[in-house]
Amino acid sequence: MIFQSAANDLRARLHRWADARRPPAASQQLNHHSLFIFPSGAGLVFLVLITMLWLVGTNYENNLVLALAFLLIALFIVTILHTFTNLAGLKLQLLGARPAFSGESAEVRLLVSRSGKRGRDNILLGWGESEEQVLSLIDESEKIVSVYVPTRGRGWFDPGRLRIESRFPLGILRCWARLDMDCRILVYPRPIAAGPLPVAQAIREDGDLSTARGADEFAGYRSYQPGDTLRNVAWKQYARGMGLYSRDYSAFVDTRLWLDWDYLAGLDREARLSRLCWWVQQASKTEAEYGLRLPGQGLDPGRGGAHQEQALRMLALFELEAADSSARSGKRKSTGATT
Amino acid sequence: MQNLADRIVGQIGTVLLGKEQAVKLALACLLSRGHLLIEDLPGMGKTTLAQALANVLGLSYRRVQFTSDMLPADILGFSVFDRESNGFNFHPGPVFTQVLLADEINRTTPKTQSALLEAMEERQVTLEGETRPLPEPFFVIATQNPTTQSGTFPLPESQLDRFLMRIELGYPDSRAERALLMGINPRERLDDIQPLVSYDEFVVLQKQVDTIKASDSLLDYLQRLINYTRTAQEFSCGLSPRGSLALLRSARAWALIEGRQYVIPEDVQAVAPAVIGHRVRDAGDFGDPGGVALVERLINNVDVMGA
Amino acid sequence: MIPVFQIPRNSLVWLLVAQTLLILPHLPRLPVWILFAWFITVVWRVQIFRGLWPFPRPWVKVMIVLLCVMGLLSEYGRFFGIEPMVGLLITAFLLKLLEMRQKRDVLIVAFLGFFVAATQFLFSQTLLTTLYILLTVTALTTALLGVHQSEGHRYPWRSFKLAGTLIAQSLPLMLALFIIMPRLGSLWAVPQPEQRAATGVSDSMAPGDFSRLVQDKATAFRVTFDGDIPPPPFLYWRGLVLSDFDGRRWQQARFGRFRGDSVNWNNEPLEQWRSTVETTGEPLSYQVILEPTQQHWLYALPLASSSDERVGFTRDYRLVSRLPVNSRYQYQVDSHLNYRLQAQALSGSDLGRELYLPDGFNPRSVQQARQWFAQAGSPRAYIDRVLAYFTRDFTYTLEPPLLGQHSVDDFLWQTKRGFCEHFASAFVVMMRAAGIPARVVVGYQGGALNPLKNFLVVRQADAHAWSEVWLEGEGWLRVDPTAAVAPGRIESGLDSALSPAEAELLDDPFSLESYRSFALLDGIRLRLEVLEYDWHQWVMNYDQQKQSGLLNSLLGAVTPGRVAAALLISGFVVLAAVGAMLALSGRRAPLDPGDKLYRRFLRRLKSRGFQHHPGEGPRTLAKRVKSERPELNAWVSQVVNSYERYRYGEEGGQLELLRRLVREAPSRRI
Repeated sequence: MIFQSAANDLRARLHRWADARRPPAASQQLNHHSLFIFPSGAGLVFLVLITMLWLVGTNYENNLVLALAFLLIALFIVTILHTFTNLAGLKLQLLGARPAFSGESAEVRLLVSRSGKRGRDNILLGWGESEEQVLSLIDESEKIVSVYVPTRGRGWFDPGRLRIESRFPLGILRCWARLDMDCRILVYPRPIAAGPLPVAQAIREDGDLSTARGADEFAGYRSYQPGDTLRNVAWKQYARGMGLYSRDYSAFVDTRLWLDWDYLAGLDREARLSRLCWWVQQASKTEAEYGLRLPGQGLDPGRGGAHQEQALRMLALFELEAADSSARSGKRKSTGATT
Repeated sequence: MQNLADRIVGQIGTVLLGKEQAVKLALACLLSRGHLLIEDLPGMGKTTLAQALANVLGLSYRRVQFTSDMLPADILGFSVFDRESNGFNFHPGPVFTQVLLADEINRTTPKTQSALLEAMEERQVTLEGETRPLPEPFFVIATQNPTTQSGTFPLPESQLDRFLMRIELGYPDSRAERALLMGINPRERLDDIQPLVSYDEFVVLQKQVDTIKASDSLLDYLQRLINYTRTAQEFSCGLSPRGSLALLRSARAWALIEGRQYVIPEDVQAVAPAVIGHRVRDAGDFGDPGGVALVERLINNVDVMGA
Repeated sequence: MIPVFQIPRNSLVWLLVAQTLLILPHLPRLPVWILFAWFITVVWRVQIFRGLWPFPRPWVKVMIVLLCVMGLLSEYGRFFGIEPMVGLLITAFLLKLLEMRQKRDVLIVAFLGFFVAATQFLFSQTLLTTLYILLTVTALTTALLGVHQSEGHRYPWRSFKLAGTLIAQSLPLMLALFIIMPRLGSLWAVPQPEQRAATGVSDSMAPGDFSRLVQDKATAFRVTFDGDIPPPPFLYWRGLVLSDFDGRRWQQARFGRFRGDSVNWNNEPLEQWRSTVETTGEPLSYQVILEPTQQHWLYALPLASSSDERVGFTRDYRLVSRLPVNSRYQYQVDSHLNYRLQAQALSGSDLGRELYLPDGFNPRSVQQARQWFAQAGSPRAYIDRVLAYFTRDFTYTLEPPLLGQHSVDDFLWQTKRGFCEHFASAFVVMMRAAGIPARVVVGYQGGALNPLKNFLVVRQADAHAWSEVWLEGEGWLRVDPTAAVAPGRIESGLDSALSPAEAELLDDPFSLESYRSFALLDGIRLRLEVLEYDWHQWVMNYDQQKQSGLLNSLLGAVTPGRVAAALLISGFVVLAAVGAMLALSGRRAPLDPGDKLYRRFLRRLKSRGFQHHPGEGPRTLAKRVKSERPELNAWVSQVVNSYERYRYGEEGGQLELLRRLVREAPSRRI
């Protein structure tokens, strides 16, 4: 137990030291600066095996048992190179993180590429302690890999360091790197069902323009119908003998859906955001145009994927962005100073 | 060929001053059997270009002004019950033509837009269970106002992809502007444009595009470009395989117009903004897709030689 | 829930292959039921892999382990000792197969495999065994590799190739470690392998023993002489002295309860023994590498002494080993070929022993002996008389007829056909009957020279029996009655002494020895002999002494600093070589020659102050040159045109032009 905790402490220290050496970057190449290599648990057992063989060989004065022990030592040393070069030179590039709802796993897409004709095998990629993805680049020179990371809270989420690890070829050595990929994941509030969409104003199924008369914009002529305002009669045309026409005006009547912060009075901020988030999802499914109103900001009605993204982003960063971005820039400055 | 392309460009140049590049792109687009989207402010000569192209190639031509209350039937056609024959008579819509100028396509509703775009893709119209082929060749030259203008329905990304190229005309340079101001309205000379090629000649030209050589080295460069759009962080989505094919086809057409039998990187670079611009999106920009600036960065960053 | 680890097929297959390779050579030492257990575990494992059978339940596992342990115990009766330990190890190696649930378990099985591989060397250390174990180790490494390959199942041979590469890359470093790492010598006593069936000359001699032995083509021992090799008549390799005759069988004399002479381990013979020896001339010095015999006695030319600590002397001047020779055994010998042994007198007990004949056996021979001795007058003349009788009408044959109770009588006066043991036995009986002390000596005679390395190979086929007689004033003299019958046997070996039909009987179609008349095959045989010899000298028997000798010649002096430095340097060199190999394989594909030229062109432009942009195609570059550096325009536009046509127009002919154009850059001054 004591040994275990000491080892953990050592590992934590090592990681802190290593982290300080690596500035965050979205694209990083693995090299001897970033890679660490150490015998794995199996490797230590392997060393014990070698010692036992050496003892047998020495006691029996059997040169061939000794030779086998030496062969395994040499194999161990040669494997160091193989394990190291399996990772060295790999280029990792952050392609982007797909936003996720809080509590879900976010997908972070990375491009892993190698140069040269030597394939790479059995590479594990993972964020923090989450489960790893296994990757190999044998015939292909690059692959896009999705690594998932569980998210917490909303706003910008820093997944921490990317762990890239390999025990190839024999499992007796573990080579790893911990990289700050400068990744920020946008985490939307966790959607909470909030009942049917608000129907404060009548909306039509398609959310289209309504042609209620008597408003702003000239839309064209149509035959005069009894009851039309005389002001709108196209007298000029009538004078030319073209018949009696009414000038037709149409107006944008705001029949679109507004998702409003104020509808959810009585709930606290996060609860409101979660419900708004759910509404945004529901509204997007109906293909309706919808807008968002939050205290101090809003989003004009619209539809489509980009619109939904914008709305969710607004919810995710509501009353967070300023604080977060200043923290972020502070971090950058400090790392800039050390490098 | 050199002559012919020059002559076509020259002809159109008489009505559209100082826009050789755009004219050549439009020609390349038609040569590679693609549809063209022209995006610019009103009054920049979009319609003139479309009409001049149709005239010079001797193709039948129709123009449809898209409005918000237009229905799919207004484009595709509709059937009317005929009492005399006691059956339905099909009234073909304006889409049944060789060159269709769809003016201000983003002013109409998505429903109508998608009806047209489907016809573009399939090169046929299916109405009431009956499929009617469109004439050969069939080009759509659509124009649209910048999406920031009010009262527009921007084309969704998936449908933008159906246009081989999207070009902008831009303001004429000062010399062209001066000429414009001094001379008579070039629009009035549109009718003077005579067809330079017959339909058969045009088909031969189209076939020649496929014979233009694209060497391994060029394909490598093309792949580097495509990979860059798929991997660089500034691109929120990479170029689709359809997009990469479009790029190669357009570059071949461009090489043909330039009078070369093989494609060089400059051909790719010349067509790339028009071909890729509307298919990629800047990761930082949630608004309108359209990364001409992005494509410029792409071209500047990707090594022609390869690493 | 622990995620279920499915061992990759690639890995499992190689593990089973390695297991088969490992167990096969151990099989003769293992109880028969191991085969059965092996079969069950393999089938069970394969069924687990296919998802048809579950892993064994805990109580089943306990049962199996108990059964196996009991089986081993009943087979060997103990656990301390190499054989039971190897049995235990192999059982664990087998049963662990059923227990492999995680990656870790596969590693443990593979590690156990490495250990089992090492135990094979305790029983055999030949070159062939070593190559076999190397193959096994590679298979084990492949199994290890298979666990850590994500797509190993797609490339099973690629895995083996990669494992082979790993092993091959490890070999130089292993060699360096082997040469340099100090040998500490045995740290504590360890159990030795049990005796197996003895081979070679046995400790008793009856008619027919030797004619069976000589059909064996195997090597008995090899000898390297420091000086010249003595001629064949001197090459009598004494092994045992047999003085005790029961009428049919010769055995070593009895001393108290034991057979065999008393042994002196003090490197030097006791003073009282020494006083009985007179030698003249310089001793002949040589090394013998004895194949395992499972016996104590060693072979040497008379009159032998050895400075080796592990070698003892008997009073009859034979050499013996402290431990049975159960693996190849090398010892150093000094022999005086000119000697007189116990020339003055034999003690009473010696005389009695060397003159003893059992009563009631071979009456005719005894009678005839007395008669001839009386006629001859002197022992010398009598010996010649007997040898002359042998020469007259005796036949040297591999297939002598069977003899009755009076074996010597039957042989001498009736059948007259026999092999060396018949002649030696009859001769000694005739001597003893006439009152001359005599005894049978068994060992080997002759040997084949390997001209490639100048060592002598003595085979089982060279096994021989002869006699020694004691004459007053001259001591023990060697008399070989076979030489009287078949002189060719002594001069040029058994084949030439036998009739052609009998010599053919000796031929073993699977032995290269049978094809000595084919020059090519004989060459191969000689080379293999040398290889085996060197293997023994430099690998199996590489000890502290050889090590310090080699290191002295390599490093100048053996100091800890130099040894450590040599170790580090050789390690570094090997690592650098492997690293360079890996780095090379990580390099990009070579550039197209046209691209290379274009790059040179760009460098030349740069040296003239014109920097190109990465995204700039050749034509764009030319355009920019035209406006920015018009003086370079002519050259650049030519190069660009040529490059475009070569690279994009794929006009191969342009390459030469391009090469010339790039070379013809305008001078920088302009």
